[in-house]
Amino acid sequence: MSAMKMYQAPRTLEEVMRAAGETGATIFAGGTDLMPRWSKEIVPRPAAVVDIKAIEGLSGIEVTDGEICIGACTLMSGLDESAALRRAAPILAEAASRIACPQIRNRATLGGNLCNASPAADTAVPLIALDAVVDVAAPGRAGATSREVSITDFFQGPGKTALEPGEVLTRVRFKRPAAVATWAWEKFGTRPAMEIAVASVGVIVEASDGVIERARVAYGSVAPTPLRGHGAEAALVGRRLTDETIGGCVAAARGEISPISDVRASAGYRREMVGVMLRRMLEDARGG
Amino acid sequence: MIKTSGDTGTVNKRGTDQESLIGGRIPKLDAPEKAVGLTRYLDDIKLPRMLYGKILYADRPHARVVDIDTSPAAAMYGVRAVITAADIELVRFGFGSDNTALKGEKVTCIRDEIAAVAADTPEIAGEAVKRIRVTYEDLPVVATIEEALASGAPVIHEGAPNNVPFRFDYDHGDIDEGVSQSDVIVEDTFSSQRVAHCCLGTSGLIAHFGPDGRLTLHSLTQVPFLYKHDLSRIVGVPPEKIRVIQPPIGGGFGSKLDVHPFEPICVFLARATGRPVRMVFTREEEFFATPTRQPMVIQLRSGAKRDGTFTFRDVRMTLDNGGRTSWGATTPWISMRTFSSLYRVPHVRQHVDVIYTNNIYACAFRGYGNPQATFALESQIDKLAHELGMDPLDIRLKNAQEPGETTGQGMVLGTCGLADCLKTAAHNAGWDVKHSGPQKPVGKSRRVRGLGMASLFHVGGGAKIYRSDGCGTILQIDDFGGVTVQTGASEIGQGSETVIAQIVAEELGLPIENIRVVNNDSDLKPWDVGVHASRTTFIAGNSALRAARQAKGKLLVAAAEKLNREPDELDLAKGNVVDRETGEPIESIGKVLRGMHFGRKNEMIQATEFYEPPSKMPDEGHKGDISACYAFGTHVAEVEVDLDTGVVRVLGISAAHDVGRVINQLGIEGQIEGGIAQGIGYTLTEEVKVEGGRVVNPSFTDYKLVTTHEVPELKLEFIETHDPAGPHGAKGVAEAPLVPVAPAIANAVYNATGVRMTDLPLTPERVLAKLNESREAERGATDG
Ligand SMILES: Cc1cc2nc3c(=O)[nH]c(=O)nc-3n(C[C@H](O)[C@H](O)[C@H](O)COP(=O)(O)OP(=O)(O)OC[C@H]3O[C@@H](n4cnc5c(N)ncnc54)[C@H](O)[C@@H]3O)c2cc1C
Repeated sequence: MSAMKMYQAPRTLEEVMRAAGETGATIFAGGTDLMPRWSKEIVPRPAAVVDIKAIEGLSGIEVTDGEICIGACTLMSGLDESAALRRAAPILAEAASRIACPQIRNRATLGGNLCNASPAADTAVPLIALDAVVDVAAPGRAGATSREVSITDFFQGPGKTALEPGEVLTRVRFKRPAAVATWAWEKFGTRPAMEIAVASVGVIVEASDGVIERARVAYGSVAPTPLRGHGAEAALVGRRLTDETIGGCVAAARGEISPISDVRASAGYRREMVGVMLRRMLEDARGG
Repeated sequence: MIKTSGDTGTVNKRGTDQESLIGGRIPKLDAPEKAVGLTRYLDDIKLPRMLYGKILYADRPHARVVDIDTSPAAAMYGVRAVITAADIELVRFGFGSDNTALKGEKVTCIRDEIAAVAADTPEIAGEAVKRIRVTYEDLPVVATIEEALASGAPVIHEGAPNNVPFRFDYDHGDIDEGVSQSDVIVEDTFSSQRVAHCCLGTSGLIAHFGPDGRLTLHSLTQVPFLYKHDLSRIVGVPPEKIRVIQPPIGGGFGSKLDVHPFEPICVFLARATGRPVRMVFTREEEFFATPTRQPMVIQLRSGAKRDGTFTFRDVRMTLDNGGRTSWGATTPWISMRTFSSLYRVPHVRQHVDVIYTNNIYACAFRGYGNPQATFALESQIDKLAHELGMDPLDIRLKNAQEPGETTGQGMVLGTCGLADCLKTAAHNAGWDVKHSGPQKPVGKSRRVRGLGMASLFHVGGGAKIYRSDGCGTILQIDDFGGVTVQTGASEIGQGSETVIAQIVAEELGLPIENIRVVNNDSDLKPWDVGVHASRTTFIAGNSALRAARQAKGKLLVAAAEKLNREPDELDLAKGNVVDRETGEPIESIGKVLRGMHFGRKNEMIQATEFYEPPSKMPDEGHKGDISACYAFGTHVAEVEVDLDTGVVRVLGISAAHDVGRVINQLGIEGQIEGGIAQGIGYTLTEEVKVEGGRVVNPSFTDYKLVTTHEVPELKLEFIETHDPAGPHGAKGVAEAPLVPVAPAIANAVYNATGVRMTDLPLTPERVLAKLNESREAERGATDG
């Protein structure tokens, strides 16, 4: 009844795409999003699943001078424990380290977190702040083709991504942030662990002589998708981090998010918390 | 007064009798088996030809059942039986006699059981219940107490046309006199939420009829003998033909004091199929289809004289009873004892209304109405202190009872360590230094800290709410000094098995490894009222102690005869008969036993005891000395409140409990630490949220238990008052540690911020709203 009719764990991407594309098999990575949804009957158990963890080259972190490249099947614990990532893009390592608990982090993959497309996906916010792109493998007539999608275009709605049936997210890439950049990421919830974010915020700013030259702001759990904060960024660029700038940035942030009220928090409280987190991050960045 | 400290690792600090097991750090006897995963829980038990049961719930709060079509389920391959109310005799049960196993005419809450299936696999059973087609005619939903009491409100049960099935009243003294004696009077309304027991093991049962018509149940009940009796009536099997076997139980906390509808349903399925049927709940079912803690609204008015002397308490309590009545409706009986007897107070009046709604219903839960009452009372005592300009510690000490006092409700406090608990918990928390408020944020941070305290009063020597509060013991010693103790007491993870073994081993001078405790089969064990009311160490401990003393007496007589000595010259220690004066070993206990058995007289040692505590059933006015002794304790919480987010973090809790005497240091630390952790969840994060009769967070994703991160450093101290009624002086302690956590934390929040929280749980959103309210008010005051 609930038994899976078909489980396969192929070694090549082509086989995955064939299974996913032609027979409609569900792509299965860590299963930490899929399995609870099956057992709670939020979605029916699929007739077939295709496990992608055996495919070579889909996991691992490559840090070069210019770019960081992470395989889709890299585990959250792998992101958390990578010294190279901690040095090059600590904002992502930090977010990964705050997901769930060690047991889940040892199963959950980066690709799964993104493809699940929850507005609360904890790695999405830092990746937006990092201007990441994802590589998508698509089945083509003459073998697999690959296309690049920016992280902001990737998320299309709750549970909806830019992936077409049969496509596989293979890698996540982003430029290594400047050494001078300051960053912050925080998620708000009622407990420090095992917590789906009520709201989260990520910020990366680069300043020269106290004037902000480049800013990236992103939010989680306050819109149908993880969201880039264009308004908050504009309120920072070209300015010094005065009280007035910070106030303007917070006001812009509160204006550009569209949180909902649900069992975890009210819309008003979510909006309030985004403001508090952002203000504290900017005050910390200013220092003193 | 002897205190033993919880955070030292030493074995038995008493110094006088170094070899005594009493007060030692004894690991639970069942721990190794659990640690290596060999314990066989209900879910692991598979009987030959066993089927799997599944229930169909109404999933609507209020409706008339028009038609049930079970044929699509019955037609499925592997389905062995489908039953509805039409297939069984509908016997009413529950405290309000308003429940039946299956519901045929009307549903009054979403969890009402409509039909059930027994099938070859759990999956087939699960699919089959989905195929049952039920036609309902929806009725207007009564979602709140206000809606239930509104004029023209829909009637939920015909027996209670005003939707108020029960009222309880209590009083002692004269409220008007109390009011006239008061220099200060305060009044507040407090509310508390539904919380779930969250036992690690979910509910379940295996029911099975033998060819002789005897019914065997593998049941997780906390009250096997009452259960047998209640179930017997519902399923029509005489009690003497029912056997209750309790497999290792993954937590109870009061959730298994009632017979729940799924239990007779499982029996009916077993009867219909002639095969064993197992039913084990999913976690989601556990959240919506088992009862919760009773949510309460408490209006409290109380007063004090200028010097802090309490004058009166006037209480009105309203309970959202949900759509059916379980023992949860009687939790006001215990809350009464707190309002009447936590600290000295001459005039008390309490009125309770229990209201039907179409919400899910509540049952017993650790503390049994006491946490709700203590939250209201101890919050208001803090307020009285504040109004009088008194230190909250001083006002409590001023009114703390002395040993020997009788409370207004007629409870005799033979021993009472309340004042010591207050002073000790305060001292260990650094009360003198840290308690001053409201406080300014430290440096640039937006966080403030504060300290709050609260005490508790609870039964410590059982609670005579049935005509017997006793427990039996049957003790036998084999030819080698191996002891089998059959006790009525049930083990639900609390460690009673270990405590009983300790007490027997201590008395007989045998190593604890020699003691086997049999406690899980109603065909073998003598009667016991059940594991509730923090009673097992006290009652079952006393019973075991007395049985062991009898056995010891017989052994010493036999040894004296053999050794040509007087029995009172001898004692038992370390497996030997020893000289009482010198401790010198004379003969091994095994040798004496074999001498008795195979010698001239052919005797063996068997002892039986039925211990009934010297307590009394309360009279019609709820008064009387209901327990053989009473437990006290004080907690001081230190918190940090984030003024921008409303997040409350507990930095530490200092707890001092009057436990009479520590029997097992490890066990008692576990009880207190667990109770505090459960209490922190109750205070800050836990809530079964019900909207329009529906549970909206039936999973651990959104039902927030606290994790290890949120349990801070705990300082535990045990005040040993050596109660003469207790085994070795011990009192019960199991429920106590949860009781004062919420008010201690809420009072600390007040100390930190000047804001008083009256509604549980103290979610960040709620705390922030109150903080904003008070900031608005302040701004208004300075502007105006
Ligand atoms: C107890 C618990 C706590 C959690 N806490 C958090 C938390 O704090 N923060 C958080 O963000 N998440 C949390 N999650 C959610 C989940 O763990 C993460 O989203 C995780 O990263 C998902 O990865 P996975 O490999 O397990 O995904 P899977 O469950 O295997 O897949 C998720 C979805 O993505 C698709 N998919 C996976 N990989 C690919 C790919 N390479 N290409 C195309 N499609 C793909 C699958 O088909 C599926 O639809 C929690 C989950 C649980 C069970």
